[in-house]
Amino acid sequence: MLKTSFAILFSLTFISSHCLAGEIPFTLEKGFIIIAAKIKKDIPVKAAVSTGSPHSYLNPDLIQRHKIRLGYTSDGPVTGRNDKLTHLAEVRR
Amino acid sequence: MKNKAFGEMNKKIGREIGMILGADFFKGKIVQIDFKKKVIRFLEKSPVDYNSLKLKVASAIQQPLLFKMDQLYRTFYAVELTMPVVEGITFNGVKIRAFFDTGSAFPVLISPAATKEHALAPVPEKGSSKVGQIKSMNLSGYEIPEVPVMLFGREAGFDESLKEYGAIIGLGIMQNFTVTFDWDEKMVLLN
Repeated sequence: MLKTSFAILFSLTFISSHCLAGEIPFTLEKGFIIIAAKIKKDIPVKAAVSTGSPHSYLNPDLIQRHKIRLGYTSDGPVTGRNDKLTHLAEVRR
Repeated sequence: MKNKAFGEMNKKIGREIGMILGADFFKGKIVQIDFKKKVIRFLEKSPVDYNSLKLKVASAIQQPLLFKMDQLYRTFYAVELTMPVVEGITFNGVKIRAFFDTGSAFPVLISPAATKEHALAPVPEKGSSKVGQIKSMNLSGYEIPEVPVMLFGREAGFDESLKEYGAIIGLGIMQNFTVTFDWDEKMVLLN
């Protein structure tokens, strides 16, 4: 059976934000480090910085709303049993 | 921070978080988080010369606390990442491999394996966690007394083996420092 992973992975080619002299301001909100960023030139997003997460992720609601195109790949070897898919989106500045 | 975190995070913060920037984004970069000025800096080179710093026998207070990150992680697209898991941190005098995770708000999280192995406290029941306190935490010579910790029972979301890591250092600790994640030299610095 093929399972679709809930994880939405993206490779962020560039992030733009309110950057002043190489410094990106952040806020601490309920224990999360939040920065302002933009993707696809002009879509503002709030991003959480998580050094504990190996991958970066896009919010599925954001993907739907902005019609971000997804690719996909298998997560691990394909055996025909309990295979998993992970969706990928390349998000450019 | 787990993959399904968006819903939980949005609810907690009260607005939409559009993305999570993880270690794959920071690979090879030198990222400094200055909690006092509330800014993140992307540095072009390491803030210290690690070799000369190791040779110095100067005031420990003035020197940054250095930790080598050593946990390799291979993504499904075959990219190797080094996660900020370090040695050199002790809890009640015992060394436990610890993971610096800015996605964790609590000061310290302790796995059931670490709690049991080092008899830090009674292990919470299966599937549960509870808040506790440990007498002392030592970050490479910098002592922090009476640290609040979240203790996990088995199957409560922190079942990593001790070889991987037994503790997570969250923002509750990190926000007392300027923290540099040097993914170029694979080091974590606390100033």
